[in-house]
Amino acid sequence: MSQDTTNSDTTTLGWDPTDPHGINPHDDDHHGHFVADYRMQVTILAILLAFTVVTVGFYNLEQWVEVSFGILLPKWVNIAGVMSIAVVKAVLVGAFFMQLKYDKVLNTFVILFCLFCVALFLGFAMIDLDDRGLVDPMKAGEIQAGGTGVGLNAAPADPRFAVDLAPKINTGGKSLVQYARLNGNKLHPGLNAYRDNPDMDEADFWSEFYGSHATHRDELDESNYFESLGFAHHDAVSTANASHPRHGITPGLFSDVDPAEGHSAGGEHATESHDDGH
Amino acid sequence: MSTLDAHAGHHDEGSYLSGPPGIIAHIWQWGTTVDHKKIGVMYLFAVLTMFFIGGMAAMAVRYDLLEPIRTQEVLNAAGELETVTSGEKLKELLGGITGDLSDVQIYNRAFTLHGAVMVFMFIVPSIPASLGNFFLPIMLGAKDVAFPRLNLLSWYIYVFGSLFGIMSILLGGVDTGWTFYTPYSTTTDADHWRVVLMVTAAFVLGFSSILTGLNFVVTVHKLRAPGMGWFDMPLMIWAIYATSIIQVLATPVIGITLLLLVFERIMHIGIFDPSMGGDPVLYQHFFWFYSHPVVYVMILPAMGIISEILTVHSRKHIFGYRAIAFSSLGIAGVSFLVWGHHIFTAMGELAAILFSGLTFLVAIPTAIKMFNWIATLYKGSIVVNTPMFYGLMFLFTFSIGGLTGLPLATLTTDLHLHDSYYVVAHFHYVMMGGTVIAFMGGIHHWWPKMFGKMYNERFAMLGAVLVFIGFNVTFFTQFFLGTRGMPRRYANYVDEFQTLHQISTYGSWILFAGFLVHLFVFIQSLLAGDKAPANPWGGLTLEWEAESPPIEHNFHHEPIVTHGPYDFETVVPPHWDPKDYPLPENGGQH
Amino acid sequence: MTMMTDTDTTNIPARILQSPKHWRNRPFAHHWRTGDEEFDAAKLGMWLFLSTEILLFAGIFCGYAIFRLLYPEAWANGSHYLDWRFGAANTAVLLVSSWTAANSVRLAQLDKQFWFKINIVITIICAALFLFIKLKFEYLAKLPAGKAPGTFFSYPFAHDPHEPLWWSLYYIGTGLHAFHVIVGAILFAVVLWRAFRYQSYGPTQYTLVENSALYWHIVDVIWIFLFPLLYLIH
Repeated sequence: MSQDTTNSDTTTLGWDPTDPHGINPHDDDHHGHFVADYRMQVTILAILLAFTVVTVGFYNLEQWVEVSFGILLPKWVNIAGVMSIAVVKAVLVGAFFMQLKYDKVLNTFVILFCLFCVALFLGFAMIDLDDRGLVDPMKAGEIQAGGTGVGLNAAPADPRFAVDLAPKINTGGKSLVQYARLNGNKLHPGLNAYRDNPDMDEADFWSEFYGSHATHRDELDESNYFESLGFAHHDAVSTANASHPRHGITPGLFSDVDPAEGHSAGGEHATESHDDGH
Repeated sequence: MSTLDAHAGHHDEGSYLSGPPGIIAHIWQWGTTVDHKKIGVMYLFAVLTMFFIGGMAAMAVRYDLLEPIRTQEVLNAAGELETVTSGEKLKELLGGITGDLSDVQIYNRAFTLHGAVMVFMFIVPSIPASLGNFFLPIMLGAKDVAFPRLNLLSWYIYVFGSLFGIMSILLGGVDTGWTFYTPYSTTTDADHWRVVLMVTAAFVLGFSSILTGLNFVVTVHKLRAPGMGWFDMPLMIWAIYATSIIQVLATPVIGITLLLLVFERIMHIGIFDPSMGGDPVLYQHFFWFYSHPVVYVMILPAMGIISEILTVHSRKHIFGYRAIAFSSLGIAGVSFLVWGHHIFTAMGELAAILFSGLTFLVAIPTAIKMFNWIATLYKGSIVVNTPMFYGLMFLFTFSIGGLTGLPLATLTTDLHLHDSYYVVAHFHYVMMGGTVIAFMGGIHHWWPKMFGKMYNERFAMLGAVLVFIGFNVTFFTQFFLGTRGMPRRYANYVDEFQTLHQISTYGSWILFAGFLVHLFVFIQSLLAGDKAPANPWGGLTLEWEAESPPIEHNFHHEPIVTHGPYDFETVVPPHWDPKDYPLPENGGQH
Repeated sequence: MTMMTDTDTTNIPARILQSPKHWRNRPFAHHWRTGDEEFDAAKLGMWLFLSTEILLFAGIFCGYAIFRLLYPEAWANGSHYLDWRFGAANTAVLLVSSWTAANSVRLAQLDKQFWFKINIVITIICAALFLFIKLKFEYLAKLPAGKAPGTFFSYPFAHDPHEPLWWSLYYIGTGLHAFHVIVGAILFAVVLWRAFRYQSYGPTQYTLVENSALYWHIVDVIWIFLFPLLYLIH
């Protein structure tokens, strides 16, 4: 770093190369910038990766508990569990990687107020899910499984309502899922191979799916595909986590089992699905 | 105390308006400027142009409503019965360019155009981007905003977004209403991608809004002059600060909403479509989560202007500075809690009750401000010139607008009034009677400072009087139309409503005349107005210390603030001779 | 805390040392009193922008929450289509890249130019890796099978009638996030280019590095929430 070994160009520098302030000599307070500690950052990274493992472990634990002990965990367990771990990870990233802990409080306040607005948005919008038909019975229609039963190609009420931009699909009044199921062979010619060769990847996946999942969907097995794979047995399933038919005065939106509808929900569900699409 | 030299003339910095010789160089300078004043002036001309376009659409809407559309069989000259349709005024007027569209279809496009241009291209950027850009740094004693290049980017994004909107209009326009409610907007006539273009315009304009808001928040935090604490700032700054917070937080939600709308239209993702399990009312929740706070973006800067005008032109200290400052923040905060009141008739009961109660809450900080302004006027030395007249007009029209919001916030009455002309009258009273009136007042108040020219006071006052009369005639009648059941966005109506509609339309012509007078006053002022002094009204905020028009860097030396913004009782205004400004004998006691 | 810098200018060619874009030669803008004020203001501005990004994704999370409440089976089914191992791998990749981004800020503050550039490069590589995993093993594995958004949906083995809704939200959520990953990678590419060409970043001038790293961390945080919500529904 001796000056005399440098060529004449460096002597035209307006500043001393050893002075870290460079051209801004009055920047005395930049010593206030917090420089993170390398070890601290690596530790935080390790903790974050560990929490990722915990999250995945929690998920697998839930699966295992359900299958092994037959307990049906309520929905909120999953949400609460993985979300709380995610919140901890986000706080760690924010406080240490983004250095909110060492920064001016205003920055933290900005982000906290933003999160408050997000909570308002989600919270208030979700409050509106129920009670729609109480004031005006006209709005108490049922949102049925599969939608209104009118497919994507129902005749429009008015020519101005003709769907133009989306790819034209004539589902003949069926829901998109039913249509795809019935026409799987036409849409994906290669899928015929699944019937002939059950060792294909798709079957493997579904085998694992049925093996690890506590509920069955046989009532929707219209083409008897899964029956042909050997999954022909029915297990009685709790409808605790099932969707109710939604209508304007559905009570108990947030409770897992609705006593008034526990039976009918399952029954309606089954009959609806058999009635549609044939 | 002014920090300007008494012999400031020996500084040979020209005003910000003087530029390099040569028209190309001049245009290039304005096109690449990072000077907040030039950007503010460009925004001013742009928003006023948009106001004109939106206003012409409004004139078309009102013109069509002069007569209801009736199909009758009449005897023609040959003595035969023939079917004649009367009242299709827009089709007669515009049939040449609109081709096959029916009169009702033209009307639908006209009110959508009016709404979309007025909301997205005029009123949201109006005060913050024009007067705010110009005066926020000067009032703070700064040389520029925090991020000058970002400011220029905001301007170009605004231009770019507006071009999308204009393209949509030129291709035939959109008839969904400016609110783009599903399912109509996701399934309607898709020729030429008009809906997508207009939605994209709104999306892009949102970015301009966000960046401007961001710039202002950082400027207020970081660039205040020495001696200016938070409670020494003019109330205009508090208002713009609260506005900017809303802009930053609310606008991204309209961004994602419009994005989802475009995907729903192009790919039919199903989120707003019941046939796929979605919910069209969810769109309304998403849309109004932004669009309700944005109406407070519209009104808060207007309230800031009123604080400035009323104090300066009555030469009186503001009553309740902190109350007004905190009310601005309070309005901004509560504005996020009330969006459901646009959806009352489609919502569930529990949520409706909640939103109704919260909506009543927002009236409180607003009322605090109104009462404080009236108290400010009490025992002031009031001079009713054009800005002051607009300020007083604001107190009248905005009160009506705010109070008529209460029946709309009440669930029971809203059932009757929802989507009627009562709503139209209400929001025009707050948006036009509030924001536009205050904007006009602000333009006249700061015109001498911005352009260094005075305007013709008598003709400006004439324009203001015409605006006042025209505005009230146009919109007060609409309250009656609404309570009697006239629905909004309807081109046709039963005969009983015709008289009121005609009165409203004639009022709109008076209003238009008023704005025309203002236009001529502005042009005359720019071309041949008297040179303006640095402080024509005797204001005490920092912009009146700068020259008219200000130099490039706003101030010759960084100002040091030694008095409050409204200390009229103890401080001689900058550039005023103490002989011309006798301080009150009781010196500060009011 | 003492600042230990690696200020060794002997090996840096004069062309770079004298460039007005070198970090020692870059002044702060004229309307600021000190460079520190400019830096703090830029950071505050960036935090405000990050809050807009969070609110942008809030719309997607809101739609997700509402439809998960309404159609829990469709959501559970949909989640089972996703292989959590790829999601976890992507999470790990983003966390590592977050670490290297934070590290690069530290290294710019210490004027350790070589390691600074290495960390930026690793961050960009991680971004590319994230996109590669997402594209190859997820999108390109699903789209041909018919698991597509909106009317492109044609997967015959779907069970619940509302699965197309799930797929739409999945693609929009992860697609918008991938777009932000690309933007973040471009920001870091700009930083890298300027670091190589002009050595633009050092202890007194590292604003763009800091802000790019902040942006990247938000991208990471959003993925931290997207991952369990999409992949780990029980």
